[in-house]
Amino acid sequence: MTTPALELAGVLKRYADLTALAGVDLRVQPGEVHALVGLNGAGKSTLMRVLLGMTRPSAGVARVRGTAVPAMRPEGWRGVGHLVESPLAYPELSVADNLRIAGLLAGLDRPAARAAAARVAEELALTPWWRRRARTLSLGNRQRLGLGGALLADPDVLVLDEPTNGLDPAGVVLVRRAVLARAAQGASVLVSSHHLDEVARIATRISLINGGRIIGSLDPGGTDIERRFFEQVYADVEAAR
Amino acid sequence: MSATRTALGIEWTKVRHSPVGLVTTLLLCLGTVAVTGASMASVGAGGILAAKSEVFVGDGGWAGLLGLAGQVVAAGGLLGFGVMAGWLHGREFADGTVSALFARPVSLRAVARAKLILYLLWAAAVAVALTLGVLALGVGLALAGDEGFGAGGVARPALTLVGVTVLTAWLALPCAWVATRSRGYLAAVGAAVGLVVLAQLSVLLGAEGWFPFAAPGWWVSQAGAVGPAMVLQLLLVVPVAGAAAALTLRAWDRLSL
Repeated sequence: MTTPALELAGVLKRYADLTALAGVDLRVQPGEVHALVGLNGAGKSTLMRVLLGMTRPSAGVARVRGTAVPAMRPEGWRGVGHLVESPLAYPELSVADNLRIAGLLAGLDRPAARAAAARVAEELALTPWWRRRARTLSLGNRQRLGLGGALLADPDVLVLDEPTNGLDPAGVVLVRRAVLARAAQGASVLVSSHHLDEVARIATRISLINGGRIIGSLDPGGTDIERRFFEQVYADVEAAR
Repeated sequence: MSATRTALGIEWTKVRHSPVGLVTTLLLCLGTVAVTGASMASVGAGGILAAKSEVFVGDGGWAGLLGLAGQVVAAGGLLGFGVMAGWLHGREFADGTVSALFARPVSLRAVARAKLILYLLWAAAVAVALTLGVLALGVGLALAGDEGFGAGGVARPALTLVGVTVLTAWLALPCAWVATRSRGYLAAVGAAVGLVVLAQLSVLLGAEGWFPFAAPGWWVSQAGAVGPAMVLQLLLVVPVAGAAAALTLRAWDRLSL
């Protein structure tokens, strides 16, 4: 059996009086674009934080390429790109410097980081702002910068939390192209989004999360995806009452 | 290239471009020179500043000037170094960049280690620059005709000032830990102010140099004399700074958002 690129098994996460994840099982297979959709506060970001070792689960285990996250050596994260919460954008540094730093953090040497930074800036249409400081960028361009940082080192695993946040339609198309290009090269992608239409365009699988639980899935090729999303969510809310 | 070396390069890029790094450096160096100069100018003029300055200046000369600068650094420097240590570590939280530092081949521990190394290197450079600035002030004062500033005996008080500055920087390391634990640099600034107050209180209460945060100031107040008790008092700075650095590394190692 193929080892999942990303896996959560029985993951529970509690914050004081809040259960953010209530026993989540999820697998992202190699080469798959797995979308996670849910309302605000459903647990999408917490799930991604657990996968990236940003927060420890109260129970259960998260694995990356078959290795439990707490056992991951720093080198094990090579090839994992992510954009969760805020982008890597130091306000006093230029787009060029921020991207170079992202490349170095991803394990590239200096020349490779420089080359990758230029390539990604071109891909995400950041070249006009190459020398601009991050503090002067619009929200959308900051988001592109963060996405660029995630894509720099040709990742084979990508974790993107709401990557189209703050983007204009042109930016959304750029993100779509970038994600699909990585997936075509064999990368495994876990992406969360509120944009159901957008998700349907890029995902090979869509999981629904509500109240910290995976409550079902949606067919990316199906019709009226928004209506089916709300049907399942409301059914879950009703069942929980 | 080791992860720490990579992280060190990244931290240097950030500090080099940041107004915080530049302003803190200038405030520490030029501020010390300015306050020392103003205090020297007040000697013999009467008033509270003059009375205090005359105590530190003692017999005058290079030892008096550099001793006075040492007192300025031991008190105000703790605040300046605390701001820098706190900002270096707390900015990742304040700027929201900390989440992007997780899950990388360059580990959080390597990043934290690089921040500490850079801070110590920067502090050493500030100590040298600040001392050179005070020496330049002394040359300026001597050129102005103050016969009390001969060249003889300048090395020892100058090295004492470098030592006091470096030790003061080490003593500000708890601010790095506070910034990490509090996830921002504001609490670290508060901690630095608290340390300055505690150091002053301990001296007022007669603890001399036995409270490590007051040890550099006490040392300089004794004209850089190094007796057995003073050596022990100054050595106590090392475990305090070491513990703060170890706690900071541990906090980054176990960081959870």
